[in-house]
Amino acid sequence: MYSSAKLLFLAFFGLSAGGVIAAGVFAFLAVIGVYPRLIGKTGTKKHVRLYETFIVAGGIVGNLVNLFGIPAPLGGMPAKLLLFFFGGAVGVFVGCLVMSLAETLNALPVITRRIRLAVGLQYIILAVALGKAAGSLYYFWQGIGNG
Amino acid sequence: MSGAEKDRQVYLKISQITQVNKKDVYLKDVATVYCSDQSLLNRCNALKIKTIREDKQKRYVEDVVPVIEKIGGLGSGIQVQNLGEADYIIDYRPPAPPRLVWQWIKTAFVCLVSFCGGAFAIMTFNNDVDVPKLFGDLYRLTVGAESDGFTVLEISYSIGLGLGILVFFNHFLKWKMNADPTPLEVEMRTYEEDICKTLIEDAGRKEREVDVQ
Repeated sequence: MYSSAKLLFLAFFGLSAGGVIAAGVFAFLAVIGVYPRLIGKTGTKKHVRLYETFIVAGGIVGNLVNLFGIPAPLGGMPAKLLLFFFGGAVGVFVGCLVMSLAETLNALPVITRRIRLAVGLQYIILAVALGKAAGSLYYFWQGIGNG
Repeated sequence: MSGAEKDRQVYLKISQITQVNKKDVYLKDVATVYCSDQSLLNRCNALKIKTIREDKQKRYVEDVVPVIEKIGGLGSGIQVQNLGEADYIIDYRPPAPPRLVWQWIKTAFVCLVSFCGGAFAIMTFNNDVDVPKLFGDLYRLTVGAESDGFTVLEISYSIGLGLGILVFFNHFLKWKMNADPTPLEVEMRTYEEDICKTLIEDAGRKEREVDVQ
C-alpha cells in the first residue's frame, strides 16, 4: 500500500514541518525573556550553553513522548516524584511566561499610570501571583477544563 | 597643534558596567585610557574615582563628568576625549568565598525548568493545533489508508523538529555549527543592556512624578 513516492513526500513534508515548527516555537521561547530573567536572577550566565542544551533535549523528548505516547512505567512513588518535579518546573516556567507576556503588553505600567499609583506596586504583584495560584487550583479542583 | 599640546590629549573609554570586589575603585578598573605621555597615563590610571562605603552588594550609577574633572586636575592644558559612556555603573559585590554547592543547585534548577519548559512548550503546541489528527488526515489523503498514529510522518516530523531546534540554538553540548553567539546569549546581552539603561535613566531623573513626557 505504500508507494515510494508517497512515502518520500510524507517524509519530506514531516521533516519540513518539524523544522519550521521548531524555529517558531523555540524562537518564541528565546525571545519572550523567561530564560534571560531566570539566568539573571540566579546569576549563572556562564552556563547559558548548558541551559540551551537542556531546552533542546526537553523539546525533543517532550515531542517524542507527546506524539508517540511513550510509556514510562515507573510505578507509584517514583512516578509521582517525577510528576511533582515536572509540575513544579512547568509551573515556574508558565508563571514566568504569562508575566513576560503581560509585561510585553505593558499591562502593569498602564494600570499604574491610570490610577496614579505611588506606593505598593509589590503588593499588586503579590496579588497577581496569589490570584494565579488560586485560580489554577480552583480550575483543576473543579475540573473546569474537562467539560 | 604643537607636540607638547598633543601629549596632553587623554582618550577615555569607560565601560557601561563594571563589576568590582574592592572598595577603592581606580580609573583603570572601569576604563581604558590612552595618552601618548606615559607618566600622565600612569597617573590617570591610578586615579581613585570612587570609594564604596556600604558593605552590601549594590550598583552605583556614576557620571563621567567628575572623572573628566579629576583627569583635568592632574595638570594644566589636559584635554580629555570621552569615547565611552556618559554614565557608567559600578556593580559592587563584597568579596565572598564562592559557594559552589549553591551555585550548582541554582544551575540544576534552571536546567530543570529549561528541560520541562521546552518539553511543555512543544507538547502544548502539538495539542493546541492537534498535530496527531492533522497528520492522520494527511496520511489518509495521501496514502489512502487509515493512520495508526505511528507513521513515517510522525517520525520525520520528530527528526525535523530536533534538527530545527539544533539549527536555531546553533549548538548541542560542545559541538557548535558556527562562531555566532547563540540566541540565548544574544537575549542575555539585550536583557543586561536594558537593565543598565534602566538603572542609568532612573538615576538621572530629577523630576518626581512625571512618568511620560
